[in-house]
Amino acid sequence: MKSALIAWRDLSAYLTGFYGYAIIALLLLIQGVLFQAFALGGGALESAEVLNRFFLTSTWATGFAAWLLSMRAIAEERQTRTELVLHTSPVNDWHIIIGKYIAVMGMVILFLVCTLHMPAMILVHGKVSMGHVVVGYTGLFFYGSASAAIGIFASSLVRTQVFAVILSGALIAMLALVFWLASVTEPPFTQVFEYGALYNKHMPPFHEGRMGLKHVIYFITVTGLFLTLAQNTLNQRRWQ
Amino acid sequence: MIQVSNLTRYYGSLPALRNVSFEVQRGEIIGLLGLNGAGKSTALKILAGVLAPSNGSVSMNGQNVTDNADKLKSKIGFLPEEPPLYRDMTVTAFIVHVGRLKGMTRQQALARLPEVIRITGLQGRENQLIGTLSHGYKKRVGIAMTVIHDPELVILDEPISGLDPKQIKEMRGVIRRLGDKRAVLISSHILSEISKTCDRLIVLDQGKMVAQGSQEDLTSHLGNTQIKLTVRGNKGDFTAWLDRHPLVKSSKAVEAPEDCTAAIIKLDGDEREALAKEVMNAGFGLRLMEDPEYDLEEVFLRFTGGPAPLSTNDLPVSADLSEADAPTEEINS
Repeated sequence: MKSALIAWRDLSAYLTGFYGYAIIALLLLIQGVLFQAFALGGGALESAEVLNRFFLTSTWATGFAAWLLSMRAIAEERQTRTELVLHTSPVNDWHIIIGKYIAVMGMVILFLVCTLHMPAMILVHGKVSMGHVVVGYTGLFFYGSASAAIGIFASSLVRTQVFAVILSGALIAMLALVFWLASVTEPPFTQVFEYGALYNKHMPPFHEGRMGLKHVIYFITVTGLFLTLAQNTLNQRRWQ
Repeated sequence: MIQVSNLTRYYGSLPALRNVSFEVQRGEIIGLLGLNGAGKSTALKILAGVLAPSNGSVSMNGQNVTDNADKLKSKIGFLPEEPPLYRDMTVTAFIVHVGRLKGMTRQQALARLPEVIRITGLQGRENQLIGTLSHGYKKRVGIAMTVIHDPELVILDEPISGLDPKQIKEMRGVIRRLGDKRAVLISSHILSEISKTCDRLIVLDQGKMVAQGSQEDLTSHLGNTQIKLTVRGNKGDFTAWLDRHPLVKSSKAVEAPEDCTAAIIKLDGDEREALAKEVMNAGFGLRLMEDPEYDLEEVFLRFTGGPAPLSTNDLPVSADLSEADAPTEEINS
């Protein structure tokens, strides 16, 4: 209930202000251009391949949306000192973190809903299975969830939104690019880095319409880990 | 109701608060007085449950505030010096939101809202965005968020800082009304103001409590009597008479009404009756003998050995702040 209150306040702030809409509009524009140029362009393609490419470009757009929307989650409260509204209320750190996470994910879902017309066009003009669309969006949701959790953790560490966006950007990039280490290391580190990478191993199956349990577990684990780290950071700071 | 025992707080190796102990009863308004860095805000934050003490404890109705912070926060209202407000929310939406965070249902918060709006004088601003309000109104919204859940203990850190004299006068009324049924703890830099609002004062200096009591209690520790004497007569003659009078330890001329002369006088003991008799025998028309308003500054200097915080005399706008409090209203429990 307390988390829902915090989430509702943050969502209201996104929806009544300029910031949330600006990010979604900008990313939809980029996503539209990429869809036209990358997913639809390059000669005749099967509908499933077009959908696959759409999910590929959407993954990056979703990651950006979660990254940019989460930077203000806690850093802004600290910057404007409104965190005291929460700290003087019978609200624990998990309530705060979950509330912030729900608010960011609410906006990420709004962004994903705004992209639905693109697969809808493929459905109308081509032949793809509904299951492929559902699994693809499930993957985007999980990718956004992990990115949001990383962003919220970064936001809990620093005092300003600028530092939060830099730090979370660095963390997401590091986690996404860690697969490069797999190519220069020996087993078992190769497997560890491959499995640990945010994108390379875990997103392509979703793009192709295949849902694997280990990929779902990976994203849930990353989300849970970074939200727990954020909760711990808040707890440490609260009593400093 | 509130028991503070040996409260100590370190920031790193720096002690901000050292073995502070006091009690607060329901219906009491307590003022925390001290220079910057004296430990006032630290003490208030610990009492509000947002900061843990390094040593010592705060209990409320027998329950430790730090150990039961989540439970007791619904009984405590805390307003920091800079009210934490969401600028993008309307006054009503924000107050209801805070009420719900404190554990009220939406219906309960909405039912209490008109009372809180009335007490804090926010009528007509209910639907205004907080970001567009003046500093004084933002303070009022801060007070409203502090009392929406009808707390037993209200803690206000510098509630009148940055307010103009008219707003200070109104805020004083608000604080007094809060103190009718609750324990209220306030800190302030405005020395004369805190004495007008509070029943009891606690003087902090470098993290230590150096004195506590009513203004009269503390003044009595000074060891000599200080009075303000207003007479009808020539200023030069009166000053010369005071300078050579054996009962007068020292005197300082102060502003007086037309045709009158006034001075703040220190006596060795309580010789007020004798002095009054001699003033009249000397041919001066005795108009007024009263306690001077800035006794508290003397108290502060005596106990801390440092300069006193601002008094209302230092405020830029002259206004009579001692009169015309807002009409008495009560907050329904």
